[in-house]
Amino acid sequence: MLSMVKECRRTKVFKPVLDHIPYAKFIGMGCEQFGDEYIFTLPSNDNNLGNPTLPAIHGGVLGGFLENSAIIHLLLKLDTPRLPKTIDFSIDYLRAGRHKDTFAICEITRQGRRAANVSMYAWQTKQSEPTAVARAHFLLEST
Amino acid sequence: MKENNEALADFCQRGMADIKHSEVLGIETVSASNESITLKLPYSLNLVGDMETGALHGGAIFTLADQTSGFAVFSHLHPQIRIAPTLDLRIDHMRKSTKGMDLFCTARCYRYTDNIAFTRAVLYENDIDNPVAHAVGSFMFLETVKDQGWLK
Repeated sequence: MLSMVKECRRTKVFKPVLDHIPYAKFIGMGCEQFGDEYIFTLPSNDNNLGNPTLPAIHGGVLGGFLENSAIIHLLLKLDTPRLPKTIDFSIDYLRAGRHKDTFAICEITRQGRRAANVSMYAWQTKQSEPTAVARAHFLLEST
Repeated sequence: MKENNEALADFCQRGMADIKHSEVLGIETVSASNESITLKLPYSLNLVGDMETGALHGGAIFTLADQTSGFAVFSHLHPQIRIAPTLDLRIDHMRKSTKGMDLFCTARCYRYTDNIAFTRAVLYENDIDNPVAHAVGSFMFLETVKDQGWLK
């Protein structure tokens, strides 16, 4: 897997690493690189809706999108040979996720030998108006 | 002993048909009482997070926890309906899920205030005492409700 991740870093095409995780494909997420920053995308998709009246993105999808963004972010930033495992994940919803494209950035707040703490930030219209923020711990396996 | 509430179970199952993402995940209502709600996420290769182990992705598990906790908020209030979107939800993963196994979630709303409902949920395969994950959440009741006719 590490060789695939390295190839993605080189080509800046992240589809292979996203396709490696069936759930990422299921919700239709993407990833783009701008300078040294990775921006994760969740294009609007009828299958991701929750409340049909607003309509709003299902909160669960937003959580899954952010969790998976953090996993991909860790893969791209660290040379970890295995997929990071989620220990815990916590999300605060700040606004209803509307039926449109969602974006996310991640930051590794602290990286230890065995675990990493990651902060995630999602927005839709403006980056200054977050839809949700999340934090999580991931177990990093060296073998 | 909790009493199964058929009307509430039926309400959850009908609601699910309108909640597009829960429908595409194939989430089903298993049981509903005024104390707790149990939903099932059928195992699917599309929802795997790690192809080496076949374990479900945390995101799919999280969605089941969110959906079940959200319905648990309705449980004590039924047949009255008050919409309460998720304010926050935290999940702790005890172990990875097992390849090929359906995942169940039982959630209860243990405290209501005028504005907030507090929930707890446990996620498991065939044994609730061997959980895959635990989740705690807060839901905030909407003040004004647009037409939510789909919930009737």
